[in-house]
Amino acid sequence: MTLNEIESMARYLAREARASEPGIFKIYWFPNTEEVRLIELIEDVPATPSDDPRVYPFYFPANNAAGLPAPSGVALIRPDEFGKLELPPEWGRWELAMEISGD
Amino acid sequence: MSWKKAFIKQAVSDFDMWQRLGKTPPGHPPSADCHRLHYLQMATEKLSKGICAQDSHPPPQTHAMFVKLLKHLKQRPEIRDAMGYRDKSVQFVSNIDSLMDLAMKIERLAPSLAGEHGPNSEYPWHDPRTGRVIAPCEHSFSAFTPGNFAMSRMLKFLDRLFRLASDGRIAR
Repeated sequence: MTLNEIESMARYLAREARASEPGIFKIYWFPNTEEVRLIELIEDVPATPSDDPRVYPFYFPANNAAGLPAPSGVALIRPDEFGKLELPPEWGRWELAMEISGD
Repeated sequence: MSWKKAFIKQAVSDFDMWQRLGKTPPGHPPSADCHRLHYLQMATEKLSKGICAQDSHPPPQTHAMFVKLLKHLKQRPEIRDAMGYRDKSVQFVSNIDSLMDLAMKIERLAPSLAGEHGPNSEYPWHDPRTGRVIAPCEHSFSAFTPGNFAMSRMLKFLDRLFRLASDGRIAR
């Protein structure tokens, strides 16, 4: 898929996230042409255990009927964990994260 | 088999055990609540982990995954549609929000999250109020009785969710 198509789906998921969860502080997108990769910062989730300080996204398959043409991985972490946890290796570095509003 | 599929398969099997233990054959005493609840806690934890797992990498070890999963599921359009809430996103979110307190209680049935004095479905604990040591098999887990309104909503939700998992509509 093109990066534009992936970004469009990322924005759609970000909109859905903001509409359903008012506690979301920020949403970051990690650009990739194979899947949508998002990290949501939200206070109201359990802290990541200190003995396994990694980001574990929830992964879902593509679903064209629901307007989700690409697979996706979305992680929910606390705001103070941003930049500190280990990302899934294929996601690259934290510096690649782009804030996405979903507006 | 991939880690993801293995976790989801085991979660579905655990959920099946939760349901089976609720059907007592005539002439047999019902099993203690803790045993059923142990399977319910494991089923929800493993389903959450299965969705988190990658094909070639196992999921996290933590037991605190179910509440996080529900928070994420309410954002998913395909899950909303598949669970019968197409064009009813407000109701879908509201339904899941109403399940969060009970979801936390299910999550805390795991001994490591229940703490030293909290009821859990596996190991005896010390109740500091009464000074007694309590065995799970003699404890009435009142928040989880099927007659409880929140519990009946939770079970309806989980029944649909595990059916999706069983049909392979969650794992990619």
